[in-house]
Amino acid sequence: MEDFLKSIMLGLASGGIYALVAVSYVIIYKATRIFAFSQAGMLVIGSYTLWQCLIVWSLPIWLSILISLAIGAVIALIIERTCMRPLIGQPILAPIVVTLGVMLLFRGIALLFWHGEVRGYGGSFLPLGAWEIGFLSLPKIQVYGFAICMIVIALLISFYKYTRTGLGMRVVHEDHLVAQNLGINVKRIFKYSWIFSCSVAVIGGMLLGNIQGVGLDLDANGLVAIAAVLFGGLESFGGAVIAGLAIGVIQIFAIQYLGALLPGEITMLVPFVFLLLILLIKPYGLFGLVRIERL
Amino acid sequence: MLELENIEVKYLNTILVLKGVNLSLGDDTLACLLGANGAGKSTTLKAISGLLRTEEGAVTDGSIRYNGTEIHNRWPEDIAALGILQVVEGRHMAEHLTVEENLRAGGLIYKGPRSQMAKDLEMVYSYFPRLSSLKERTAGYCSGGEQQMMVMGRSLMGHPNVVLLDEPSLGLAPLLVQEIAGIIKRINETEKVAILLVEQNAIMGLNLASYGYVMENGRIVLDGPAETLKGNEDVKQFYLGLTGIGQKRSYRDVKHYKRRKRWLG
Repeated sequence: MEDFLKSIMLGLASGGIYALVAVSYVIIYKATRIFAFSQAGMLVIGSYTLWQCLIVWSLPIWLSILISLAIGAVIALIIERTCMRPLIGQPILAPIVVTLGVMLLFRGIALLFWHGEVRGYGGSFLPLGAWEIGFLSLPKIQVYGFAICMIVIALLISFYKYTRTGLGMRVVHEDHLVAQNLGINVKRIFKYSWIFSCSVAVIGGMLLGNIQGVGLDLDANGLVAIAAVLFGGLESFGGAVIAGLAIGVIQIFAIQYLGALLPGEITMLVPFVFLLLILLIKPYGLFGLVRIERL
Repeated sequence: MLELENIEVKYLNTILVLKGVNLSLGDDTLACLLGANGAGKSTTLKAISGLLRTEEGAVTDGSIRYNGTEIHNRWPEDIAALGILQVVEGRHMAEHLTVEENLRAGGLIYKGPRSQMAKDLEMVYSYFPRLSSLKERTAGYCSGGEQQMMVMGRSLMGHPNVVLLDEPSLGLAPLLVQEIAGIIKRINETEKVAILLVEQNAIMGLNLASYGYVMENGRIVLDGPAETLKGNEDVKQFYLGLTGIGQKRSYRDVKHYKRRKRWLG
């Protein structure tokens, strides 16, 4: 029982980050219908820039985080302007493949500047230690990480729901033509979407770097988050969050209970097998938009 | 004052759709544009609102001027910012948002004080009382008439100077068409919005408008005050379905020869 509860807690903690990364895919997908693989690479870049600011330049933590976010936003602008904008109107596969290329480019950049070595933040920028609640011990680093993920996602969702720009973005999510018809600048919304998405991915990268260590392998988390996105339905923030958390828990359970039976890292595959089963039953994912069709 | 001078529109730089269209719309007039399928009515509206650009079309000759400034070849969002809003045929909307959110989205273009939004919503609900009971309804699940009211209300939210209405009566029940026609007239008169109405329903169009244009094969073949058009024998025969004597034609004594049009199409 103790193990069971502990697995759930750990699963939720890593699932929170999956949810965050999944949301960063959803932001871009909803606005542009492009599945941006590059966001997996942003995790790596985000974690390394924070390391650069924090350890190499010994800047205070708040400044380091701000700088990393700013770099993320600038990278977003560059990708949007140079890679995505010229491809507007081209077959949808073209920009998707380009994002895949950008992801590899990010790996290359990380190799070039930081030699792909695994680094750490010199301890952690979140409080260490653990809370003891009954027989459960909750590592603070995980709990804080989880809380940050949920707060970021909640802020994002309320931005979409309650602000004027958010409303404009939601109209773009529905139909580009309608948005232009209403005088909404669709290209500006694309830009905002990329900035939001990259900032979210940078935050994800920082949290992952804090827990798993800064390194090139962080983009594997991005791949797991892809499973979460498809599982939750490409167009739903709520679905991405729930699916992210679920995948986190499933993964920990797999390690806990199947790890002994299966050789090597096969447990990493469990979320994907699960995804396959879900998509067989619900092709739109759990919370994907059901097309409203008039007969 | 919106003026189209001799405009020529090509799609994909090969398909010639409009072949020199001249049209002008005064500041608070209600004009209607009649024509058969494929005559180029919707293309004319899209040329004005700029939506043509999103469909690989372009104004290749002539000019569209609004209050003296040339607006052809601008992006649709810039033209919308000038207060020229098109209500596209087929009731396109943000389907998964609620009716009120759709209306609010129409108000995003208005740059005035934020508090205006609530007043504008009240104004739209006063024109379309049915919408006020549907505020929280998902737009995609509303009926066709309700959606038409919503997209018309949505364009009002943006404080337009010119509204280009593309087939508001399409697929609606006759009673609803009457209701919507009345509302169009009221909007034109009380809000001082110039309206260019594209209609297949020629009777409705000519009854509402003060000036009419008839389009065929990418050209304006006839124009004049609505009353004059209503009296034109060709319009009567081909658009209003009346014979020369002014009676509704019965299928029992359909003539087997066609009246020849007395305009150059």
